Amino acid sequence: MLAFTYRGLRLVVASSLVITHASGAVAHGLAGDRFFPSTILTPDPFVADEMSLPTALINPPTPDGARAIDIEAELAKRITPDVGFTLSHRWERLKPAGMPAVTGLGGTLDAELDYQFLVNAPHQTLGLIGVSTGFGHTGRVQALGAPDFTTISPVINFGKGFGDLPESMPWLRPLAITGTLNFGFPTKTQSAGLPNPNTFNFGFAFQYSLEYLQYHVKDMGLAAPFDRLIPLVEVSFSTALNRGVGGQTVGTIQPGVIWWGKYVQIGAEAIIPASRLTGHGYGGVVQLDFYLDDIFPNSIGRPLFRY
Amino acid sequence: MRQILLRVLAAITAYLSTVGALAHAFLDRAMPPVGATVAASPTEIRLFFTEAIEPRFSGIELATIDGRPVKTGPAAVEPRDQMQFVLPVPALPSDRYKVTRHVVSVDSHPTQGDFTFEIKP
Repeated sequence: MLAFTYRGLRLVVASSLVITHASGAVAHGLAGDRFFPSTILTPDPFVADEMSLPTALINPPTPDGARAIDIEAELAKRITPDVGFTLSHRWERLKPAGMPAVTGLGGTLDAELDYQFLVNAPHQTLGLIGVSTGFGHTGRVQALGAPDFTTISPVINFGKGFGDLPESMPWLRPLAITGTLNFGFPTKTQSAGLPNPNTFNFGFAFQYSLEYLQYHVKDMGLAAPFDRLIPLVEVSFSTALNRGVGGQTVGTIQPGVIWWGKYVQIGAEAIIPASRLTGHGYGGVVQLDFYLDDIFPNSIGRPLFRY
Repeated sequence: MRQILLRVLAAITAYLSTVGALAHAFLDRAMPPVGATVAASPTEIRLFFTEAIEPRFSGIELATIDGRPVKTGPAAVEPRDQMQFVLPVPALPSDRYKVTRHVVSVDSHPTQGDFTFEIKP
């Protein structure tokens, strides 16, 4: 079994989990009377006009004791009402155990092109397919372990609200789940003697909307800001498929809460490693997300083409 | 880097604090309340939204819980407050009812939704 070094782990994760993570900060969306927020970890199942700035992470310590702080930015833009793209990158401060901290652009510049193929209002269902690309050599390769290779990932994301459950199940109707399945294909089989495996990545966000409870199921007397809270738990995993490290899995579990308002939403989650390979201890993430379609409804918040 | 980030955030926050009320119109309150049981028939369904709505592209329908439509008066925006949408209703017998809404805010964002209430003397 290959013993992962910190750099090796980062290369594997960079080819998969980081792409999953970066593309998670996408947008908010509607399917019927279900509002889906932009989730921090799980890529969203809709195209929209939004900007996540910043997403600030304190990552759990890696197996070799290094600790990283990330500041991410992402822009999501609709080209047509059903087609959109996202661009994202991040700044990183890495502090290896017993060594000076290093800063700079970490990971890769990520770009994703998406098509919204399904919006089912009565059943609160969304579906999106896309292709994500993490461009190699767009971060500090030597100092921060950023990939020196490009990774291409076909993506399918989905969302399902349970507001269509029978009236006899009122307390389950505020539930919703979003998820992603994708494969990561690096364009280089190894870097610095370590393998870059193909990866299978998946993640889910289990959400309970107090807004849905208050305004669609039963008036509980919830007032601001509690009527716009969405407690949630997100999970994300990346499994290596080949090149000698097949079966090895990294992932995180992130319980937290999102509050959404007229123009912005704020999210905060704890980061808990799901395996020893991922790290140990705890981390945290906060995100500020701007709804460009609500802030600039007549200019940059609209699709570029309405066809 | 941190200074630039703070200035950008400050500029965006300043803009947001001055921008007009333009956004999706979500339900803020309803009379009768969402999911409530009331003792007598209301004379109207009054919905309070978070934004002003455009009545030409908005509507409210009332039906019994088993799907039978209820004949009502025309839905109209409250003249003094464009964020209130009112549906006059006749005297309703005891039953459970479903209120379905589809509204477009004045900046053209559409939203929809429904809720139930019950009349039980």
